[in-house]
Amino acid sequence: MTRKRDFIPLMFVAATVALLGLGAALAQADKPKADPMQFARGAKAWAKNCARCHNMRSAQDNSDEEWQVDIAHMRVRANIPGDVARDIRAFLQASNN
Amino acid sequence: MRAISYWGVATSMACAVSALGLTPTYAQSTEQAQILERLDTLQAELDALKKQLAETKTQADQSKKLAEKADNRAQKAVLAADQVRPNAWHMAGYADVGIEFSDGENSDTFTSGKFNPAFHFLYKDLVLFESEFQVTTMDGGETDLELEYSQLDFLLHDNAVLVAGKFLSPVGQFQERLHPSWINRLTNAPVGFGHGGIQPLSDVGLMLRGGIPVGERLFTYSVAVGNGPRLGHDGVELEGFGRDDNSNKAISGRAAFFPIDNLEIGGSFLFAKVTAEGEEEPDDDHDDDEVLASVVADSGDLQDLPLRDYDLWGFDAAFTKGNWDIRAEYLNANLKGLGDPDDDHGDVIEPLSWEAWYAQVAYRMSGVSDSSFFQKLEPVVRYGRFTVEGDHDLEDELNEKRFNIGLNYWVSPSVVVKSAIEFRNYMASEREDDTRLQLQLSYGF
Ligand code: HEC
Repeated sequence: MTRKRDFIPLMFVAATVALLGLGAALAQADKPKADPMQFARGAKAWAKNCARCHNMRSAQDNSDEEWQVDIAHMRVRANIPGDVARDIRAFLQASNN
Repeated sequence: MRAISYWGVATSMACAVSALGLTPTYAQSTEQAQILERLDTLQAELDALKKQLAETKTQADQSKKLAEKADNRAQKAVLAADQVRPNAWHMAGYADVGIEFSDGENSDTFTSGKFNPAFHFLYKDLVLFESEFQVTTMDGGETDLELEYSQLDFLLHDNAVLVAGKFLSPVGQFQERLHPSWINRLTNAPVGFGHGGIQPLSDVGLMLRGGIPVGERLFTYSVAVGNGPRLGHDGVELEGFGRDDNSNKAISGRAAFFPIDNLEIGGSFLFAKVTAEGEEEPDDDHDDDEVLASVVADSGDLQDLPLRDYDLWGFDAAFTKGNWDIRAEYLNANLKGLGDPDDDHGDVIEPLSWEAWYAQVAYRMSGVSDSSFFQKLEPVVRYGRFTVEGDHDLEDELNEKRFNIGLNYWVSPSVVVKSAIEFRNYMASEREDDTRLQLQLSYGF
């Protein structure tokens, strides 16, 4: 629907937003905080979000590293907010052994 | 003599008196000295104790500092141990095999099914690369390799992810969420969905997506700008093309919300322009891009060819609670005609419209019986309908009502044996109905 002349500024805006966002994300990325309630929140969010499309997968299915990647994959696919995804990840990584 | 002795006595007495007087003075000063001496020692001891106390205090302070340091280190170590390498990866995907018996035009057949390996690479929590292939054996025996998706996801913000590359279309729910065979409750896609249907499969471009909490509820969005669909032999081909055949970009997307925790309701759209027929169809010996490049070179710009509007909208709903999995989806697509029907001169191309919908209910028998066999069973029914209007040939070929009834056995949450009967009721009067028995084994890994 958009014509070429509309599309170029659109791309430009998208690229700028992407760069700004990535910068902000980079600044935040290295500050992990221990949070005792994370496990509980994660368990709840897991129950609520992870059986909406397919059967609930077991925490034992994946290693910590695999959950790290897979939750990012599911976060994108299911449009799960990042903070909720991190809680679910912490819960699964603490429950897989 | 007497006098001498008198003086002697007096002297002795005086001596005795003075000695008596002197003795206590003498005794008193030694005691004092001793006390003083003791005081001195006590003072010294006190000083030593004070000094020791101060030393102990500094030592305690130092130990406290050391303990704090150690604790910090330990905490850091725990955090570090929890953290995964900055470049982490994961391989996943699925595979299926099946068999289909048919009483219609099709012969009974084994299907080697699909092998879909998927790769995911994550750099910190910043960038995810995901890609999936689909490897299938074609009817003629050749191996077909397709790129389902290949995308870089920039995790910009908790509520926004920017996707770039080839991605599954966000339109509706079946294609993006349910089509892998370990997720799909039946052996194939509903009629009008999947290949040859009107649900867009994929696109190449950019997509912004995410979830935003609104109070206790979640609102989700996906908006994509892509090369968009092309016109093909059997209508509009809704796949991601590596290059656009016109400069118009397609905009598509979906927004959804959860009125209650277990119910998701979504609305989708796609607006595009497709280049009208008239350009040379690329033949198989040529690379698409080459043909396109030569057409562009000849005509200056493909934009010179007439464009037709293609619009699609739809909605979907999913209720998943306990043993229930209930879903429904509706899609409506329109391709504008070309030319003025009242004008006798010049070609007129009629508009085309499509409609597809299905509703599906599955119930997992867990908890219904004590038998572990029964608990793994899941009966499922689906009814769907696909219609096109505007072209008789297409109408005869596509218009269909389809009813499926199936029984699944879940070996694990992602390993399933499916059996189903499919009743196809073609709406063209001369076409005979078709009943199929389908078996499929799928493994999601
Ligand atoms: C919006 C639907 C949806 C939701 C919600 C969802 N998934 Fe998935 N999940 C999928 C799809 C679709 C696939 C298959 C991906 C593919 O093959 O491309 C999948 C695949 C998986 C896999 C297999 C490995 C892989 O990445 O392919 C695991 C494990 C998984 N999901 C776990 C989860 C967890 C944990 C959650 C909760 C955070 C979750 N899923 C929520 C749709 C969803």
